Amino acid sequence: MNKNSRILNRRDFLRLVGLGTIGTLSACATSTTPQVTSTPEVITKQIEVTRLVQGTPETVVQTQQVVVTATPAPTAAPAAVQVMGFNRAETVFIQQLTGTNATPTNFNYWAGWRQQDRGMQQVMNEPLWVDDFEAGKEINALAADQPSYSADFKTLTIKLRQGMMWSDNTEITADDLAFTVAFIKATPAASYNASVALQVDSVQATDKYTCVIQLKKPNPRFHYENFVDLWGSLWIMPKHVFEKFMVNGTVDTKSFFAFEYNPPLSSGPYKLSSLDPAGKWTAWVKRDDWAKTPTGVVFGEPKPKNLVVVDYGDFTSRVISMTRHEVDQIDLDLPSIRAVMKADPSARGYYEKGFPFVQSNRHPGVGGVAFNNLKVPFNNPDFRWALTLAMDPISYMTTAYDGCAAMNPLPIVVNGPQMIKPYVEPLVAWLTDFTLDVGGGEKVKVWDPTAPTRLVQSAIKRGFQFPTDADTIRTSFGYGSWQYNPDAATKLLNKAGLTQGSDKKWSYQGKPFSFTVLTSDTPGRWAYQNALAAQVEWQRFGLDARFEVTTDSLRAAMGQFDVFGTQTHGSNYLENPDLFRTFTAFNTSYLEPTLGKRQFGHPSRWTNKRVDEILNKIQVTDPNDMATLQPLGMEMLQIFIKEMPCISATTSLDPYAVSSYYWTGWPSGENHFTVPYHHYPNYKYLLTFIKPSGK
Amino acid sequence: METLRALFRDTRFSIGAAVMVILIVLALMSFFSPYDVTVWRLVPRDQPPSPEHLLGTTSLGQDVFWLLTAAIRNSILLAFCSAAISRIIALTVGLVSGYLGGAIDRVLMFVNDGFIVLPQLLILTLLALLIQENLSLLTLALLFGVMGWALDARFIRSQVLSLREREFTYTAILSGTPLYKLIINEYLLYVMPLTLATLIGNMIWVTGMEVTLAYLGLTNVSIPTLGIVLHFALNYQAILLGLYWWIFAPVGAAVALFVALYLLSQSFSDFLDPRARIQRVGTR
Amino acid sequence: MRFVRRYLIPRLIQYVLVNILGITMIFILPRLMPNGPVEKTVAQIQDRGAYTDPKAAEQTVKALKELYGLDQPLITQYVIFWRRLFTLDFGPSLVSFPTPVMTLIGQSLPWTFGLLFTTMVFIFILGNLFGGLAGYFRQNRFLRILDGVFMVLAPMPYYIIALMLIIIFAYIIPIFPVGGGYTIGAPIGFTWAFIKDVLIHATLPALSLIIIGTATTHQIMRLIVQGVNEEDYVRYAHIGAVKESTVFSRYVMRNATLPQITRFAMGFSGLFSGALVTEVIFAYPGIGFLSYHAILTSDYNVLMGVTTLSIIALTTSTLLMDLLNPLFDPRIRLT
Repeated sequence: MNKNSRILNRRDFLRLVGLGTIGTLSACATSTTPQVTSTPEVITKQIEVTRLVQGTPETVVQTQQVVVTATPAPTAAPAAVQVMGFNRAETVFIQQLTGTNATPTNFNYWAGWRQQDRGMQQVMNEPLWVDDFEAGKEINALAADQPSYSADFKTLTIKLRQGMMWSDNTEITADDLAFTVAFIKATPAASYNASVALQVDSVQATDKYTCVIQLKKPNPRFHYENFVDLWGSLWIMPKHVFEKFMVNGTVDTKSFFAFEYNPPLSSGPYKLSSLDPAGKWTAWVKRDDWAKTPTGVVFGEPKPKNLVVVDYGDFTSRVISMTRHEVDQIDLDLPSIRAVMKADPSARGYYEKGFPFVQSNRHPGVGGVAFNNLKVPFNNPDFRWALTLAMDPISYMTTAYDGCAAMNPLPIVVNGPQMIKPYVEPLVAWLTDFTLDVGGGEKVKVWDPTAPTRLVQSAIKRGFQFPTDADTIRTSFGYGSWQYNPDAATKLLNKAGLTQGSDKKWSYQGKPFSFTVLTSDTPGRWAYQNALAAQVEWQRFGLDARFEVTTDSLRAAMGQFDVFGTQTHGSNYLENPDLFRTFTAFNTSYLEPTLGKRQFGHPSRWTNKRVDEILNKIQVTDPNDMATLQPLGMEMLQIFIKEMPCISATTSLDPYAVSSYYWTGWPSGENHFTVPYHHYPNYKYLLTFIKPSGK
Repeated sequence: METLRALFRDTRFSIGAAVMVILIVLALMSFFSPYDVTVWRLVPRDQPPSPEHLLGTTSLGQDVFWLLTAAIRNSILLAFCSAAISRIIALTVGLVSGYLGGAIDRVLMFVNDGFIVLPQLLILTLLALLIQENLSLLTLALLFGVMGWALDARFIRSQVLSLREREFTYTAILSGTPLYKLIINEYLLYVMPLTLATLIGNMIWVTGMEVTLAYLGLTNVSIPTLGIVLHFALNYQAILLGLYWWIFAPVGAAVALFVALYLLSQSFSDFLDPRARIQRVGTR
Repeated sequence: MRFVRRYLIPRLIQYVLVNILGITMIFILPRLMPNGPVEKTVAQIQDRGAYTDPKAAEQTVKALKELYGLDQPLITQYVIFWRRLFTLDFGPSLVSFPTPVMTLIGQSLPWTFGLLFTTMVFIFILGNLFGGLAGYFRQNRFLRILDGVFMVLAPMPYYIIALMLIIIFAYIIPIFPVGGGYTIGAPIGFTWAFIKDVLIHATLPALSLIIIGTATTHQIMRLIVQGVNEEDYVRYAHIGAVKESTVFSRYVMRNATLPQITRFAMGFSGLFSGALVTEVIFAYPGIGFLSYHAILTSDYNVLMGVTTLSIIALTTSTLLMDLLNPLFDPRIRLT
């Protein structure tokens, strides 16, 4: 047996030697082949070829200077770093926020959800208007000016810029706009069909650059609701592409929904260059005639030759890609921002100096937790205020955002440039003396103006650096927060009918009291982080609060929750202090009084008679008529604060990291000139500001 | 006693039992935890191991050591409960089906086969999503219990089939012993060892499934189990930020638990019936 | 004829019934979930803060349900599903509307097939070879150490192994990518560079499957071989001074491998459910990844497509093995 097994072993040994030799040989082959086969130059050339084929000769002639700036690329190629077949130094790579494309070859934005952050809204499309919430103003993109409404707000006239071109060198005219509105109105289930069909009576192009829309009912905000791009709006369709689907006013819906619109026409400064059929990336190349787009007219030439929108995978993979300098801008959560900054010195968050990493002071939405106002005891303002005062804002911010976010306890964006004078400053003044009756006639003040300073101090204690002057703290961390007052919270809970046993446990109506804090989001996203932080605070206070994660996004709308992490109200308008959009979802006309039936208004289902009256009045008031709107808005905000149907905590954060390895001049907390996010429609404008680092 | 002594003669059993005892002691220690591990931000965050915090702390302000004790407790509890539930189902189906035969057997085995052909992980994912709002340890145990009985019921049934042909069955029937008495007094005794061996195997399966579902974010994140601890460590980038204690503690505990259970089940079934093992090894 | 009447027909009836039962369960389960693909779509649109009037949102949900055919009563949807099934059409994906489900499955299947087939072959060879050797040469020290290693690996949940591989080979020694099927943006084609890229990306997922699979197969094979060793004919062969290597390869291995071939063939039925966990952990673009995302986004049609195919594959391969076994193994006779 022994002998035999030795023989066998020897044979094995010989076989192993054979295998090893083959292995080594093949390894050698592997290490030598790349030099032979890695021919990215060829690939770039191919792309160049397609570009030439697609671009008509006229385009090249008309924009000669452009061609000059664009041509150095191929000649510089041999020594240049290539990533994904693109010259790295001329290309900006960004993460696609919504991940892998579900419909990679489909660009028909009007026929359904197309993940427009694949570059479509950043660089392919120019809407009529774009919100710039960093500056607090509206950018006229394809529109020449603001729309003019008739006195009864039933007619609006839109003037288009002249000389703007689709990427096939057809001019963008009022015909396109009028066609778009008529087409969408006639196509059920098309994007924006519901809004347009409900409101538009007729539409007409009165001359080449003027379009007139007749509404069924007065609405001074029609263009805000449909045409101002804030992560999506109704985009203009190229009539000459889509008119084949509409014959005599009827739309052939079947072929329209099956139409892929590939390649798409651009109204923005970049056009489609190539895409991954598996949906991982989409590449865009700068148009030769970029000067004939609103970006070119208003901001000048975008610097990168290519933009590639990629799904790098989970946070970990994104961080690794950034440390390898393969990507310029990625969205992350706070732990991974710290991780990427630790691994790569050229990476940073929103602030150039590091802390506090995130842009949290101007985003139009405000996140926090909403109470289910149709359930006991959540329908009681005393209870809701008790829970508000039971949270330590410093600890809350640490759990939710690593202590990095601005405190935004008011139902508006406290650092929104347009909000400060009309609302924030008067509200803060009012809150300084605002008291709450905690029972037995005892009144307590609830506003804590020093919370932001304490948050900064706790960060300094952890080793971060941040200026301590009041102004900087205010713009970066807010005006103040609700007090952490466990004593008042206890009294308010008692007032709301809850009792505390000798074991410190709370009970309600004779039963032990426990409730859940629900989120339907994923870890790291702001809705999840807010729900989590609120639950942690209430547990620390001594309430039996449980954290619950669901993937069922409808539960909130169905009212199957106690407390829910969400936007505490609608987004603000960013260019004026109009509060209609912010609160309209609370209108009683949207209320579904039965829990378990779907609510289309705000999930908190809170309503208030006086708020209804105010909303109805605001609805028919010109959004720029501040003399009428300001007092109404103040009253509504005060009702909201007294009732506290939702606890606002922070703006809805989108943490991201940006690398200055290949491109510099990104906006930052210290120098915020435009919306910094890589997934917003403002990105085409941002691209005109950055500079190559010369690497 | 005799049995135990025989079992301890097997090194695998001794090692498995020793590791299991250590894990159970750790699990019991969770009852003396100075911190409520479900409450966050009670201790400083991101601390490396120190005398004060034996296994360091997490980014959420939990003490990893005490968190781990609770996680081990919950994971073992969950594994045992769901394995017990699925054993009860498997036993009932196996006994009834095997003894009665005929139409009942055919219907039961038809349902049984229906369960076997379902793509298990997909179904578990779906079901976990469905009842996500009510996911406690108990419902999770029920979920795994309902999904984990089908194959073992077949084993038990085939054993009963062979018992039915044995002489004592005929003797009992001829002497007028009631059916339930025959099943409980005689058959149950015979199939018990097999059931116990599959119990441990099923516990391994359940723990593995729990870790997987937790990784996918489908279980209740407020009940610490080994899977949930891992889930949070990964989500808070413990690897990239170098918080190795946070990730290796649950991985180490899980590995210890699996190996211990496996060694026990191997040695146990060897002891019971060395020949019947082949079919069971593959049925994790 | 007796075979047909007593065995084949009942077996076929059972085959059909089990399929209907399984597929019906799969039809009902996802539809019990209160939210559907439409809600997910609408939520995605609203998530970013783009304004939707509540009335308009209500309209949109209604219109989309109509478009997707989800407004029809459940029983109608069920009938439509069965009618489509006979032409192997599962309708359009609801998330990737209007892409047909079969297109999506067709894109993912080669990835899963490549990964699973390769690993199954590796597992079959490695597991049976080492298992057989370990069962036969029980005294060999190297084999005993290997046995111990496999003993520790076999019970490990797959996820832990995969995680450890990622930590070791993607972070500590970063020689393999963290995930994906190929380098993003790599020019896809039948070039050596691309094939190499695919192989590098498949290494960790495959390795994780091979480790677990080999450990389990090894354990089983060792036991089988030990069983065969005790058989009389092996003893006689020893007594008859047949060469040791001949006894091992001709007498023992050949007989012991037979049941393993069945296991190997059965492994193919897992093709359509994919290695779900593997593909999710390594972001590998196969069937498992597809179905996992279908669950998360409530894409009923994709889910139905994948699970139906997986059920049919499993039941059919069981049926075939039952019927074909007597051909491979003369010792089994169907009565």
